[in-house]
Amino acid sequence: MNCERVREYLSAYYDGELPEAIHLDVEAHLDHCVDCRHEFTSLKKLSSLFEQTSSDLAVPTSPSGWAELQNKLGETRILSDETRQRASRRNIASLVVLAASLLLVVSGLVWFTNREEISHHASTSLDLNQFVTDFQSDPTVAQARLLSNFHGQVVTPEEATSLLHRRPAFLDRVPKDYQLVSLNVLQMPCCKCPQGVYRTPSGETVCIFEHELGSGVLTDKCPMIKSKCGDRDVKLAEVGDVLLVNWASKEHSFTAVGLDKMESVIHLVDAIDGTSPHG
Amino acid sequence: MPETSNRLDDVGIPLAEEPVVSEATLYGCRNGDPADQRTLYELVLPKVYRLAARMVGQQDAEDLTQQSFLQVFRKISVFRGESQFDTWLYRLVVNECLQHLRRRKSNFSSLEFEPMDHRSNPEQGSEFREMLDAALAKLDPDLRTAIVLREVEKLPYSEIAKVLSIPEGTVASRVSKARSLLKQHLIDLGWEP
Repeated sequence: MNCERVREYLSAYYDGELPEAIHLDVEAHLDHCVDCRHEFTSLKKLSSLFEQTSSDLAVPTSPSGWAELQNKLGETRILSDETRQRASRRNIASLVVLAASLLLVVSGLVWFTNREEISHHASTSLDLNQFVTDFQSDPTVAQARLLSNFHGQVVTPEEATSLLHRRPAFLDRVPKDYQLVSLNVLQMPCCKCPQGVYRTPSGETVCIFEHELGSGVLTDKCPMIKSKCGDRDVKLAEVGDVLLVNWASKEHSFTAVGLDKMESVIHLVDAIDGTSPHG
Repeated sequence: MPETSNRLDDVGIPLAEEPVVSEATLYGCRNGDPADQRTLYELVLPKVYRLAARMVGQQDAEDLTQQSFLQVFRKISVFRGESQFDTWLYRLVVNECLQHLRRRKSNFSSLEFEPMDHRSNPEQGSEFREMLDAALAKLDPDLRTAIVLREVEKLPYSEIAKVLSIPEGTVASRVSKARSLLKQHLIDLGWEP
């Protein structure tokens, strides 16, 4: 084997990646060729340089790294054990009563209520009640299941616009102090729906689903209260410690979950409907 | 014995010493379990950061590490175990790094480095690192990826081939060419082989 051929094999020889017969040929050549041995030595020095500088590649000890990643993943709220236990003890019937009380107490607007059990919506199989319950205890798990069940895609606003052939309306209408955590497109039985996960200034995490008008409400099993805000019909429920609200604008139906104060619900609904060109 | 015998023995050792991500952890991550996500994060963080640092330079390595983990947790539900998790992870991180390099090509390739005077400066640790980063930055991204997976991650050619979805012969030629060019760039910067 001549020097030219050996140089071709030298890198793989150094890495121990040659077939045995060629390996032995290269080895025999190196025994008597000073130049090729020098070349081989330079490969070792190159590896030494990588190893010499490898200590510089230790991960910077930033304790906030995991927390920052969690925030980016949308996990912004960790409930205390007490809150989790309380949420698990509650049943939906008693929560409806609480929701009615809450409405009467905190709403500064003219709200009136009558109780209505939303009929089962055959077009979607999402158990929203379960989603909201999961969402309170662990938003990441809830989101992962949602995305998995409905072929969800995590997208940019531009990608959402391309997938839906329109820009999700809520993107430009949510209160200005809402921070978008993630934007997803779900392939639900009723329609292809955008879903935005936002963080509010007070630390709540809220999910907004936007449906085609006429696609119906998102809920399957969730008992809700039919209410009015001004001339706007909304449907409300309290699940665990958070409120769920459904309403329709002239263009789209919306569902928002995750807010825990009526003022916040009113603020959100007003923002999304108030800036609508048709609202 | 050939001088390469130690290298042959070395091939599997660093991988074997790496912490192993259990199936249970992967299952939990697929279901969005935060405890399992954190376990995975802590287990593979050094590996992800190390690879990112050599691929894009340390100034952007932390951002790339975070971005890579975001992709890991977003895409792990589609990881079905057809390949080793490490292979999947390396492929994902490499892709993130290559995208980053394409976006910032001009910035990184313009990184300047003064040739070193090794006679007057015996404290060369940091300077060696900067020199190696500068030389790596001059390599075509495909060559850089191959040499980093080999020299930093100590992957055998068969594994690099799986990560990059290329034949092993192509891995061998890329690693060889990368070494040759890297040596030349280093010599230009004052390194003595």
